[in-house]
Amino acid sequence: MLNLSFSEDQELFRQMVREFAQTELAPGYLERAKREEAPREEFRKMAELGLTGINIPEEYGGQGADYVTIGIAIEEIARADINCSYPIAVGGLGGGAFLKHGTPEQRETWLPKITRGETLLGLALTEPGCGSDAAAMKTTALREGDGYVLNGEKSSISFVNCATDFFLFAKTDPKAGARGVSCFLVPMDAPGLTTSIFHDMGCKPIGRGALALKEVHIPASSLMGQEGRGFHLVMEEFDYTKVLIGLMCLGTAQAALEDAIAYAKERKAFGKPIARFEGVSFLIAEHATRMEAARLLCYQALWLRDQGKPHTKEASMCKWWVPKISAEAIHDALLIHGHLGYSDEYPLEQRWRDVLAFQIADGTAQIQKIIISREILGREYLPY
Amino acid sequence: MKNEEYRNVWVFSEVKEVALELLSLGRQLADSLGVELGALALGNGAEAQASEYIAYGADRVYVGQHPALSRFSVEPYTDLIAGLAGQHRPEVLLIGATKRGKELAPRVATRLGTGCAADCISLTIEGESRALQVERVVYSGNALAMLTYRNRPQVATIPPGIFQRREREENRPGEIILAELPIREPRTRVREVREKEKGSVNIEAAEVVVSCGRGLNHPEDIQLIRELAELLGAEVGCSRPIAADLQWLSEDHWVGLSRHKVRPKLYIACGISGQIQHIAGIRDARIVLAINQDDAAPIFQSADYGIVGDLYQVIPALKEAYQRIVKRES
Amino acid sequence: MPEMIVCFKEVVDERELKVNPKTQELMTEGITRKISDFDLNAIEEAIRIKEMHGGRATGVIVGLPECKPSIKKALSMGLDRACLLSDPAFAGSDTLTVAAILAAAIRKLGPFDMILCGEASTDGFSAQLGPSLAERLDLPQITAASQVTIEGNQVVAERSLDDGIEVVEASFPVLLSVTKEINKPRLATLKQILAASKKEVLEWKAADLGLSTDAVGLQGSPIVLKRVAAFRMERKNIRLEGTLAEAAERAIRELLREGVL
Ligand SMILES: Cc1cc2nc3c(=O)[nH]c(=O)nc-3n(C[C@H](O)[C@H](O)[C@H](O)COP(=O)(O)OP(=O)(O)OC[C@H]3O[C@@H](n4cnc5c(N)ncnc54)[C@H](O)[C@@H]3O)c2cc1C
Ligand SMILES: Cc1cc2nc3c(=O)[nH]c(=O)nc-3n(C[C@H](O)[C@H](O)[C@H](O)COP(=O)(O)OP(=O)(O)OC[C@H]3O[C@@H](n4cnc5c(N)ncnc54)[C@H](O)[C@@H]3O)c2cc1C
Ligand SMILES: Cc1cc2nc3c(=O)[nH]c(=O)nc-3n(C[C@H](O)[C@H](O)[C@H](O)COP(=O)(O)OP(=O)(O)OC[C@H]3O[C@@H](n4cnc5c(N)ncnc54)[C@H](O)[C@@H]3O)c2cc1C
Repeated sequence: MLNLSFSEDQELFRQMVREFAQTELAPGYLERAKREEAPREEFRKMAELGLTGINIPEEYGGQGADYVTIGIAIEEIARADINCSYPIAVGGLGGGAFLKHGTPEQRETWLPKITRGETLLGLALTEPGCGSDAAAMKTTALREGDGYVLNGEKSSISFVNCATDFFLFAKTDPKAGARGVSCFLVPMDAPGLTTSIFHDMGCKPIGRGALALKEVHIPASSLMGQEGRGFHLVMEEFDYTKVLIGLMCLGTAQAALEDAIAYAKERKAFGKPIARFEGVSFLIAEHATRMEAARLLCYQALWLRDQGKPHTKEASMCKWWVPKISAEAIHDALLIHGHLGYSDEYPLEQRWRDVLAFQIADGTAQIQKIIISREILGREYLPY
Repeated sequence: MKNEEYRNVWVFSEVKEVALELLSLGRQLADSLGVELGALALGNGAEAQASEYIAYGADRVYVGQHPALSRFSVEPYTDLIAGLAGQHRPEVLLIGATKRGKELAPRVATRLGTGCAADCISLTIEGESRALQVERVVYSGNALAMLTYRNRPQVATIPPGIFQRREREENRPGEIILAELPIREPRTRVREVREKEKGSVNIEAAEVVVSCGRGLNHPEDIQLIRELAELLGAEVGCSRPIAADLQWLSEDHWVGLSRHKVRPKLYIACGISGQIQHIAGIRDARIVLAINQDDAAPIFQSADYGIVGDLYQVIPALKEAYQRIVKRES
Repeated sequence: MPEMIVCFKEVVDERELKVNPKTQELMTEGITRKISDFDLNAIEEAIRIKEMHGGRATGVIVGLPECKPSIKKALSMGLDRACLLSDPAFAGSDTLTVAAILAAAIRKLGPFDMILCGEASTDGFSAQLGPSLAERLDLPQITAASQVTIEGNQVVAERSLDDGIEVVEASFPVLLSVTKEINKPRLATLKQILAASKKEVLEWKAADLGLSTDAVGLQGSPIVLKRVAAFRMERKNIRLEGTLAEAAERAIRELLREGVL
């Protein structure tokens, strides 16, 4: 039986998050977006509302809800401020990873801190020399005594300006490919770890930057899951962050489209509101159509995850397509605003620059299409 | 009791100036019904007020002077007004819609088992039934409701300031009646009365905004805008040039597409041309009053009320009118 | 440990109201419904009092059966239970009869110390229900409360009046109506939303309250709502002509008539 409605609880939750986001986050979005400063005060408020532990069980102080519910929160927060929605996506990722791969001690230690918003976990996979082909990473984690020593560089990592810890991927077996990769929990203040911040065209508050690791000693208890299974962990957890990224972009595009609708009704040209020209209204109609389809795709993928069903293909579909159509919708919303849209006093160009990040972050469109093709055509038709 | 057994129009407000406005409205209603106009004067100095009320149109004034009435308190006032209305059975009872009047009227109506319509801005009599028809603003200002009554007395509260008092008539005949009725002591006790403090700038939450644009000539002239704002309990807003280019006000005051979107009940635009970038920030204002010396300024198309004139003259005139009508200072 | 009753109402979201361009009628169908703004403040105040002094807060609402999501929202915020008074016979009730329905339900709920209302609703905005209910239940009333403290078995409240602040006190039981300045209503967390499903919701009809169906609704109400006409949503574009003084005077009177000053 097909039922495409959210539950009453989810609707009420959406309403609460919207109220919060529109009153607490939306007004300051543009101003914050121009600064390379993490929105700490906003994170704190989100944690207070329980938004940092939506999928974490109640015994760890979380909300114990499903992935569809995280999606709702992300979409609503992003409608107000995309940069504030990213930590929820990543928080969700951290929660999920501990639940599946963490030891009981790790769960006890980390999950309550994530739900309280005290811990913000970044994810350090990409390196200067490899991104799409992450298995080619050069960073090493070699056994020494009862711990590991890390050496190498991670590049293009979000939350370098505010994370407390990182899931950091490094090779415990430098000679092996993907199977040599392990995942570690590395605190930001680990001796030997230094950071540098990039100056980006958008998403400035998420503080993308690099981590340099020079003889960083960490205890054996920092290993997440098993040695050599790090890559597997990434693949599993990335599935649904791809969907959340889709909803982040969609929420942002929704805000832009709504602005364009209001403006088109107001702005007059040739004696009429421009909304009466089909050259304008059809644009709005087309984007609204694509966005509706995108929304269904995203929630379907999250629903599949909630049902414990495979969703690798759907997640990759979300990841390549939704950021793209969102950027296109914002682009047209900007053009509907005429010269005004081009000004940085108005959030359209900012939203556009922000969503572009997510055509790259977490895997480019090409990589997603490789995954989708593999799922559809079979592994034997991969080019390598 | 049948409706026909009720006659006459009564008015009451604990604020004398409001009572005078109600007398003028009450007089019209009483004349169209062909009945007498009664007024209630309660508390200290009620007797002196009574003769004033007659001079302003009352045919009969009921005076209550119990110590419990010396300052307004809803319970004894209800006892007296409902008691008198129960005895004399007016068909219409108009009460001034001050905050105090608004807590009183529904209590009186409920005690009398009748209905009350709040904040009526138009009142007429329907010929046949002699029933009062009233109009009131509802849905946060988006609509006008028309109501009528089945029972008597028909109680309505009337906002201060919207009806003008009549000319005073010396030696108008009228009767003063001393009201003796059982009154209970109030169960609420007043501990303290003090002035309201002024809140901080939050233009997006402001109920009234007085805004200025490049029509101002000098930075000192912001004072003119401030004075009007203060009088109306409003926040000061401005167009982009005032905040961004001239920097006569901080960005907290900047209204429009690229800063604050406001949703006040009333937005007064002084010397603002009304470009769409500004208008986009006041879309949700309930009422816009524009003051601009250029008859063709686009702001007038985005305004509910417009005054064409020099803001340096119009603003003082507005202040004067407000003081006279609302604050009742001459 | 005060026993509290909170009266709240469901209204259409006035920001979504549309006007039928042909008939000039207000279109209220299919519009999001919400808890009336100041009633959220009343709910919040009851929860704060509960957090400081203990006690219990019961929400009471006269509304359509479809108002369940609003009830859930109120329970998520922290009310302990709710009581929905719904009956087709209640349709068309004015303040007098809504107060009668509420009074009957409140009596049936048992002894209480405080009733909290919003100062006024966002649709009818008459600010009448509190005083009318206080009269029905023979209670002292404190309207327009902008700050409330409990001292033993009495309430001390600041009232925001036209001409200043009045600080008043009254012993339990008492009815208060609160302004939006009194507090900032909280947002429920997901956990609270989920927990609200387990809270008790009583549902009573006219018969359960011992009310005859003639005494309520359209038949029982002295006030008859004849018509609701939308204001034109477009700006009125009225020029105020005449001398400066005349134009200024007309402006002030029009603004008072509009209820915006
Ligand atoms: C805002 C932002 C935040 C980020 N945050 C993080 C983070 O927190 N943690 C983290 O680890 N990384 C993060 N990244 C890095 C991101 O995951 C990588 O940038 C991404 O995986 C692509 O890697 P790359 O940049 O090295 O591009 P490359 O892999 O060098 O690719 C360059 C181009 O070649 C294309 N390409 C590569 N291989 C193929 C192929 N087989 N077929 C067709 N085309 C191909 C790619 O699609 C791309 O267009 C972030 C990136 C951005 C922009
Ligand atoms: C991307 C972008 C974003 C923008 N965002 C905003 C925004 O958020 N907010 C905003 O306000 N603007 C914004 N603008 C600017 C906007 O386009 C206008 O330039 C601006 O609103 C004009 O301000 P004004 O009405 O005060 O000045 P003017 O247009 O110069 O108007 C002054 C008016 O005062 C009248 N006047 C002069 N003297 C008197 C007098 N003595 N008495 C009465 N009337 C008098 C004149 O007739 C005239 O109509 C934006 C522009 C761009 C390009
Ligand atoms: C457009 C319109 C205009 C109306 N005008 C009048 C009028 O002038 N006179 C009149 O007698 N009736 C009027 N009514 C009927 C009126 O809606 C009901 O009597 C209503 O229940 C109380 O009036 P109000 O909405 O003005 O609320 P208010 O008196 O402003 O409400 C104050 C508080 O009372 C409580 N409350 C109000 N209604 C309920 C409820 N249903 N359930 C629980 N608590 C509640 C809430 O705490 C609320 O904040 C009008 C109705 C409409 C739709």
